[in-house]
Amino acid sequence: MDTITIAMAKGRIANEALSLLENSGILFSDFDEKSRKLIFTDDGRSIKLIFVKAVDVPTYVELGAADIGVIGKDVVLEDPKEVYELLDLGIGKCKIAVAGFPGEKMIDKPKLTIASKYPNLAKMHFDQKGLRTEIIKLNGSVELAPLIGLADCIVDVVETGTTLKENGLVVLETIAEVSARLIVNKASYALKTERIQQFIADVKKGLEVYS
Amino acid sequence: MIPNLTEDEKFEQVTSVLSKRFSTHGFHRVRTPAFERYDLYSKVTSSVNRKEMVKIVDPAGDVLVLRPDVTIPITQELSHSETKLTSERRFYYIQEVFRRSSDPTEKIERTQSGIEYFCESSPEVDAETIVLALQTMKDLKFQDIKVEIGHTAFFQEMIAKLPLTELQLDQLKALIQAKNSVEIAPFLKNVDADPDMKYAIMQIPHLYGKPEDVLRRAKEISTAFRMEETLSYVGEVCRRLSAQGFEEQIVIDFGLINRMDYYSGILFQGYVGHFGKPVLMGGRYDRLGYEFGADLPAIGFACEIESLLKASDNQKLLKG
Repeated sequence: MDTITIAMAKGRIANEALSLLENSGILFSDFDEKSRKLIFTDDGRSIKLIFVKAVDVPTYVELGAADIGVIGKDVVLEDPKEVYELLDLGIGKCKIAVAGFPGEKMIDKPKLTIASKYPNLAKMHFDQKGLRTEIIKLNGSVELAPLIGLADCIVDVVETGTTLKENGLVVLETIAEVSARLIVNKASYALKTERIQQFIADVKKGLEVYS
Repeated sequence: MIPNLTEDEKFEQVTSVLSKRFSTHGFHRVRTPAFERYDLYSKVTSSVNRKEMVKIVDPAGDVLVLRPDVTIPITQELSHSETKLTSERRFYYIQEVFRRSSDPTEKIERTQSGIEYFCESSPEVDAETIVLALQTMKDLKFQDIKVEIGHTAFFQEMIAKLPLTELQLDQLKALIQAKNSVEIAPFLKNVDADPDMKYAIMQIPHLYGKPEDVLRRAKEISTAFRMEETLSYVGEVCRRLSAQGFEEQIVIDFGLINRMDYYSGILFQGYVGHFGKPVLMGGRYDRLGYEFGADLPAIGFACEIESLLKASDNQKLLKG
């Protein structure tokens, strides 16, 4: 049987994805969250799991360094890659939203300044609305930007809304609902069609148990 | 390939393998100019992305581009001498093409090699061309060769009937290319089309796999769209490939869309093991000649020498 390589990022999504795989009968007994190891093999010795930084998952898959990736839709939307997106795993659910101070009237501003970890997504959203924007790319603590006057609004991932609330911000608009997706390298799909289709069928079965 | 060769020597080796294979099959080498008039490419609707072309202004003020494509100039050249194909023509080329990608790390200059086979469309000719593509990959000693076969009837022609805005068209194209069946259904909810059509489009991502199996499933949606003819054409191409011993090397992908819009008919692309992207792409472009007032049916394919070199390096690395 062909071996397949799966890339994901350590963290909550990986943990949920692994328990999902467990439901499908795919076990990684030697996986330990605290371990610094980056490569694990499943008990059936046919699946290799590699841990990479989340934003790099699509790159590994596009280039074929991994056959399959598990990644949030937010990352896929921000930087689309030439990969297949075959399943919605329904885990890691959250939304990408525009947030700012309560009562913020975006439409009144001649030019809106937006801070975001997702500059492409933010620009696309406001271009479609026909609003003129200046986008500032930040890598973290995006909520800070409106508070210190760096930006009018932010575009960010919102899970529970607690961080926003604690900083006096509210969701102004939802751009997209996102969740973790299973992405597949196009060459791998052609070369290992049956193996990958089988894996996907297994995961689908696991999803039914999970939900 | 022997390991201690320089990059340039490896390059020469690959191009000589290609030349030999193409000329053995009766293809004649041609060259096209490096500088072309910009009008040529802006005239051929939706061929090369305008943003990707490298433009130059000559002293007279005319805009020129550095050769972004080879199929278009070869077709144009032939249209000067023939407005209707009198006998089949076989050409091949190995030359640089220049495209500026939005990704600044991508190289502007690449070497493309391919064939253009001007002849009437038939399953026999199309199969022969795909066999040539497969043999070329074999000549280069690649392991795990796979060719995906598709047809424009499944996306281009079906979608042409839908009332979509340009933005929606791009979105649907991206969804089909990603085989994103999860999001196609919600997307189609907002589109005004009959349910049969919507159902058919939703099936496209699943029409992937062994020819027999996929063709059988495709029949189920074809009745409403007069696609029986297309399906039996594709079936015939696949049968001919199997008969020549390539059964294991072919897979059908009706979600295949070529980035060049001038294709009409059979589409295909080739993959090899340990290389994540297609190494070869091609298809039939019977209507391209119309752009130059000529009726020049043709099929062809092209590969990038740089990708072939990288793929062959990857395979050796993993073996060693």
